[in-house]
Amino acid sequence: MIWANLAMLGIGGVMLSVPVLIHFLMKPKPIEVSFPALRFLKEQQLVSRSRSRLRHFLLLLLRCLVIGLLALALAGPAVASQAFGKWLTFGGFSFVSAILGLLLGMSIISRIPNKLLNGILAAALAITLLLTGWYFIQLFDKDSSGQLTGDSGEPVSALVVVDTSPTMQYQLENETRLTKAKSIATWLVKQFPAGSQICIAEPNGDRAFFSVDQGAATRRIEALETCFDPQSIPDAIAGSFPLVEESPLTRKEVYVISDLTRKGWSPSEDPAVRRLIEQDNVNLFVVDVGVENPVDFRLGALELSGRQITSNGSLKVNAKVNRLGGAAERNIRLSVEMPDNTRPVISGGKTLFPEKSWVLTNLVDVFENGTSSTKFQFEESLLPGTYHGKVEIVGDDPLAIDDEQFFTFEVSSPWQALVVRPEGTDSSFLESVLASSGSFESVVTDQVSFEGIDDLTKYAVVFLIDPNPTGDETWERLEGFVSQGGGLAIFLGHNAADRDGLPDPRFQTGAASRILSGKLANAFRCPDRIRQPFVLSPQNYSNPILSAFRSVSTSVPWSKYPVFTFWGLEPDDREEEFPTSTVCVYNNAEPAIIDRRIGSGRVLVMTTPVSEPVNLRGRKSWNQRPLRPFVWFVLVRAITRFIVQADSDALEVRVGDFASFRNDLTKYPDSWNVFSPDAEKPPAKVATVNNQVSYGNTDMPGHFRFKGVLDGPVLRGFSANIDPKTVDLTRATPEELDDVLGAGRYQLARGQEEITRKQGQARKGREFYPLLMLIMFAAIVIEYLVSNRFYKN
Amino acid sequence: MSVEKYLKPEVINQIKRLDLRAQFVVKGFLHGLHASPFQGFSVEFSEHRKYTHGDDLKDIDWQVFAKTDKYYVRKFESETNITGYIVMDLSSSMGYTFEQTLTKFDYSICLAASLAYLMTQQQDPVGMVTFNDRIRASLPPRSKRTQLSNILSLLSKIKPEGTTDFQHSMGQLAAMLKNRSLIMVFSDFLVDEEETLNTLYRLRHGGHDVILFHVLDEAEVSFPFRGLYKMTDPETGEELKIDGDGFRSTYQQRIEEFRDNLTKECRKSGVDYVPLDTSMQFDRALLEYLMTRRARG
Repeated sequence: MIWANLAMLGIGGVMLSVPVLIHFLMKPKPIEVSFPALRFLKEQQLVSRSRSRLRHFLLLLLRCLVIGLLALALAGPAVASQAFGKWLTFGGFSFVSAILGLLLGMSIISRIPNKLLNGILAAALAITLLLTGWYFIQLFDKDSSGQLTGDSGEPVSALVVVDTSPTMQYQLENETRLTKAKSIATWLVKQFPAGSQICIAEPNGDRAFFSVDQGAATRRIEALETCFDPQSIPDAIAGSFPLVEESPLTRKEVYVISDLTRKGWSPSEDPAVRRLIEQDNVNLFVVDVGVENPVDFRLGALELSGRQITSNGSLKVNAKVNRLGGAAERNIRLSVEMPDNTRPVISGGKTLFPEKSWVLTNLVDVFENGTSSTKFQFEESLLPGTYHGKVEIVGDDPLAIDDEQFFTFEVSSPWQALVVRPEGTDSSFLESVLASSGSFESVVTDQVSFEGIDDLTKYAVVFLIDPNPTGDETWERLEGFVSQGGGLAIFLGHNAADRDGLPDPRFQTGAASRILSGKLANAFRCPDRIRQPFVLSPQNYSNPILSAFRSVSTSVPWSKYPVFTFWGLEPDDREEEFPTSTVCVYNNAEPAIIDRRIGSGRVLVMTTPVSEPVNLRGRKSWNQRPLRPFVWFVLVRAITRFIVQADSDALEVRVGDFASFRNDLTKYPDSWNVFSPDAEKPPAKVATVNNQVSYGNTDMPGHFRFKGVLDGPVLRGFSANIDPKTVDLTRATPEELDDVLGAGRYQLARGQEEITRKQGQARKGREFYPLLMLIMFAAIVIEYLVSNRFYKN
Repeated sequence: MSVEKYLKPEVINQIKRLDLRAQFVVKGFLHGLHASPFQGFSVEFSEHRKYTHGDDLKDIDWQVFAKTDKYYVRKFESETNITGYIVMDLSSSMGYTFEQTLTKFDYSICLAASLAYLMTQQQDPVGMVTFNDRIRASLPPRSKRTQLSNILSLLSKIKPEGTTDFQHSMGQLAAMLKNRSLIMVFSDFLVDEEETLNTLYRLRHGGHDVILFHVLDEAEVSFPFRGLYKMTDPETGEELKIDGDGFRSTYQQRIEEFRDNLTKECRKSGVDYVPLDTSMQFDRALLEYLMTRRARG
């Protein structure tokens, strides 16, 4: 408890003697009257005189109480808000005890003492006295009493955390939440006493520091911008709070100005946050600048049919539109920049970007709080190169930042594929897959002719369909082809077996094992082709080959593609040398598809044939596919794209992530200028390292363009998009806030007036002045009534 | 209603002449009776009887004499011959009033005068005795109309003074009475209760009918005092400081007890007890008188 004017208590003590002196020295003069029936009064004189004295004593008490309360009120007692309830309870029980004591006294000296009533009153008095005592002890429990810093002009060590997450771009009344937060932060900074230490922090992970003065703090606030890859607010507090904690100033305050959207308020395990919650000498204020019922259109992450297409290929883009609020319709526009080798270019200190685009527009109806999707099919005759595009929601939206999604794709010449199969082996299914994609130009040859081909470098990929045993020279030649960036897919089948059905030794040599990711061990045959065939049983769909099935993973009809026989492989010990992973297994957990990286290329081994004919004669088929093998088609198509590493380059990243892609120095320059989407930002320079170029400063959504020179300007690039989770406008509930900052530990305010009031409460505590004045006036009224009765003329 | 208003003490207080007061009170009372079950109490001719020596000649019915040649006199209700004594307490306590309207004494005088008026109207002999510590004045009972003026003259002269000695005074009165009489005592009876009751028993034993008009001030009944008071007994001069609020309930209970005890004991001994206070109308007392008269008639 603190006192605004402690001297008033002493003065009040002296003043208390006044009514006592009046009571004893200036007794009231009775009215003199004649009364014949005096003898009846004399009979009752003793009892009535006691009662009269009690009333006078009560009057004296009331007068003392009035003066005492006045002195107490003027002394200005105040306690911390947390302890205010305890003080009120203590006061309430004290008051009830006093009343019960008075009633008990009156009952004891009454003419007809009632033992039962006295007993009840005494018991009630004992209980209330016990409770009063208990709460009196509780008042000195420092853990929950809170501390007050006083309302003096002492400098304060203040941390002001301004939420700069993307949702703070929400506009209301022509003002974004960030603008409002900045205005409140500026106002707060101006309020701090001179000499205060002020740290302005934001959830961008930057190191916290105290501004040199209030002016610098204000300028820092003015410079705050949206952070597209924000930390959570508790993490931002944790990063800055030690600065305030270690400050020599005794008054410490933390202000968090946020729109209180849930994504930014996940609990933090950082010890600094725990310390902040525990140190109640630090006043913590949360200023809510959010919107209670926001409305928004939001574009979800785009789904592209491929990041790398061929000149005659097409691009399918699927966009999801999420609606927060009532049903509405919007135009969704897809635009793809037309190639312009002269741009980007710096002109007048600003970057100029390509201006012409191909544009497609779809109209989309979205239900209330629902999601709709729209598909674009982009078909243009494109030259090889890198293309940037975006999908956007057209029209006004309070939160515009989530209305755009950027994408980048590469157009290349069709990949040259060599399909190798032994004489008499059917490869028609694979050929049809390759032909349908439009991205491959395939050449089919038999295995004998293949062994005569010396130069494989003109092919991007070689497919071996159910190969016959071959010598180590061929395996070594294929290893060389792969290590230089080529793709090799091997679909093992019955040709790998000898007459006894065992693996041919030529498939078990070291050279063959390096390619096959292991030594061919034995053929697994299902016990019953009808009832117990093997089926593919993917364990997870994270590999790009299976990603097409990710959204329907539980309903893929793998059982319609029975596998009767497949090869088992004994894993070799070369995994460190050649990173190997199992893409998919059978239902007996044996590998079905194995991926191995060799050099800059990759080998994919499937342990059962891909192209077994539907109507096979002369032997039992190793697997079976239905007449319309859609699943098999998608799987094989994904294998063909994966093996040429079509989508391996990171052409799209989240804001804040590193972008990295292969840089073949035969086709691309060694160093690049990287142009940010921010036209004001000068380009950065990056160089090739290990045939890779990387760029990490993806601080905003948009297209990041790489420009280099190799026989003329060369352009590449990628897109950065914000994580859709960071623009979720769902508000954190009070319980969630309590979880993060501790229930009752912080003061929640919305406007400047409320902040001022809560600052007052936190600094000066809750004052008893109004309550004491109210009780004093009540005592005056009672005193007036009682004295009027006693001294009526 | 215009005449009945005189039954109210605050109205009658505005009339200064005692004879007029009595007249107005009785007229108001009788006017009220005409519409009441007590109508038969008015003084009316009843029957004839033979003239005997001593009868007033003016009562002879000359028309009967003309027809029968015999002397008959008209017999009235008043022929029951109640000899009444108005006994008035003169002690200082009777001069008390709180609201400064009628003192107990004024109230008693007014009532006594009205009774005297009524009795003389009915040709009942009525006398008067005043006392405090002893009998101070007396008028022998007469039924003549001049008796009223004598009584009124006496009433207008007396003033409350001294202390009460009820027992002694009533002893003196009993010695004065030769015939069975109706004794109407006006007093506040603020003396020893047992003494009062013993005195009354003796009067009853002497064959007299007694009506006690117990007159108290309104303040003595309701005890309207609030706050601190220094109270003085006008007879004994004793003083007492009290807090009115603290005493009220017990005092009211005590005065009620006092009146109840008197009521009970009076009923036991055949004394009519009429508790009055100065705020009550006068008809209560007059009615009590007529009831007694009827019972004896």
